[in-house]
Amino acid sequence: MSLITTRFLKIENDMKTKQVFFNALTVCMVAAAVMMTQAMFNGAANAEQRGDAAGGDLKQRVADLEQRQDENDIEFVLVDRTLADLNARINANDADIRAQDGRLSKVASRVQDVEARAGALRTQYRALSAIVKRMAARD
Amino acid sequence: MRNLFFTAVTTLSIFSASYFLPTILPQESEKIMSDVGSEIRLVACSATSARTSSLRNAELVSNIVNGLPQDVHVLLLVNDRSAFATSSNNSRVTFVEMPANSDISIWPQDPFVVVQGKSTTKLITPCSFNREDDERMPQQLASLLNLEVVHSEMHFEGGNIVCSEESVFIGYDTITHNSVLLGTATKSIVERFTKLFGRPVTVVGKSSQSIGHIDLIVTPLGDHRVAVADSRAGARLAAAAIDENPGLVQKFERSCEEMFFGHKDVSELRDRDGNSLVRPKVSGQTDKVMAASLLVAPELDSIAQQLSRAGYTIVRVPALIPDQDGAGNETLDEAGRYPFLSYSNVLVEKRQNRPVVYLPQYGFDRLDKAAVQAWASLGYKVNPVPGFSTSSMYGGGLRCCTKVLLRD
Repeated sequence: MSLITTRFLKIENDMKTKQVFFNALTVCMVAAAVMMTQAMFNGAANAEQRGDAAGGDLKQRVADLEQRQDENDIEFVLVDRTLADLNARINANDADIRAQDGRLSKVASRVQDVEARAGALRTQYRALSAIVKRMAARD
Repeated sequence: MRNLFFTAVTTLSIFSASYFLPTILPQESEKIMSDVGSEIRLVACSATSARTSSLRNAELVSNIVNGLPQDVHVLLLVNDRSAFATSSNNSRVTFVEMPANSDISIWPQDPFVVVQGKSTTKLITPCSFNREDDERMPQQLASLLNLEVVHSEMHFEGGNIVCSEESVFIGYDTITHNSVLLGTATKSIVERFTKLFGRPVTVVGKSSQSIGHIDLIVTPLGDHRVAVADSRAGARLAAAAIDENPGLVQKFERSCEEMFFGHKDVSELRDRDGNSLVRPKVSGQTDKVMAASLLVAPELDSIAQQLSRAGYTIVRVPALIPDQDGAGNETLDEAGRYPFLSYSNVLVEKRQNRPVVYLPQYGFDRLDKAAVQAWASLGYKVNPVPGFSTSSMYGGGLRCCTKVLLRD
């Protein structure tokens, strides 16, 4: 093997060593980058979830709304205290009906008055007709 | 030198990717809360007082709270807090006051849906919701629970959406309504709902719905099982009840009619605008309702067949369904507002590995008992919740009166 060939092989070996070294360095840096990235963005992701106002903690919020329940606190009864208002609305209705009744009575009595007047006018008319007939007979 | 350069570039790329990837990729899949699932932990209800509403429901709310297990917390939406007192310092119920002068219904099911991710809960509201001030309900709840409210561009009502782990079931009308309003093909609407709710969509029905909300007739049970209301069975049961003891049926009718305004002597009220509200005529109407139930039965059969073809095992539960032509009208029609006896409008959960159903009861003994038997035969532990006759005259049962916000 010539001297030139030996040197060439040595240089080639050196280069391969360097190549292996750089490849190892690349892998190490990539691994370091991944770890750093995870460390950097993990916190941000958590913060985003909290800021998301979402329901991750909904169970906790429900628990917060509740206190420990008493044993006698089993039956729930919701009472509508405005039932009296319902009665008031019924009474108002009744009053309306009574007022309407009153108005109808007045109208009815007016009708009766008008009918009485009409009757009187009919009587007068008949009397006048009779007078006119008698006067015509005299003529 | 070149290797060093590549190392630096690789390192920078890793930093960049770690920083930007979470913003590019969805952090976690969010899904509409299933009606089938683990133990119910938190629900919302609403209560209206006698002085603000003709439909007052304090007694019904008490029944709901007492009908649910002790570890279920109830958020009670009220617009008239001073009207209500409770029997004790019951820690199970938290009052949530609506803004002053807001008018609410007793149906918190409709104005929003709940979607959940692994660590997130959001309330999704429809594009618009025009029933009293109910659209304020999700805001009040979100404010108390520190949740996010997402305003959707889609139109929907919670009652026309039911959900299992496998699919979200949406009533046909909701799909077509969106299609018309948004000027998009129904296929696209289905895709948008799929994206919004995070689950595949099954459209229930193939033509315009005669029953406004599918939660009155369809109940997902999980494991590819769905319960569909059977109004033919309901009509048969009603007929048998009349044959067996007509007095009992008349008593039920009379009770519905007399208690419509909460007292048998009250047959007429004025609303806040001074309009007259007359209680509906229920006495003697059961025959007509049986006929109406038979008329709607083929539509329910068709829904059952459709879901069966979609791969679901169908079971049937009885229902007595009045004529729905006048349903949804705000003004009371004295000609007929018979209770909608739905035993599909329920809450279900799995408690200690056993399926449990919370079943509304209406006071029609024969049907109530048949429904209990039907659910028990499906393997459910049945917890009956009484007192729904009046609310059902307005068209809603237990699910309509509640909104599950959290399951364990």
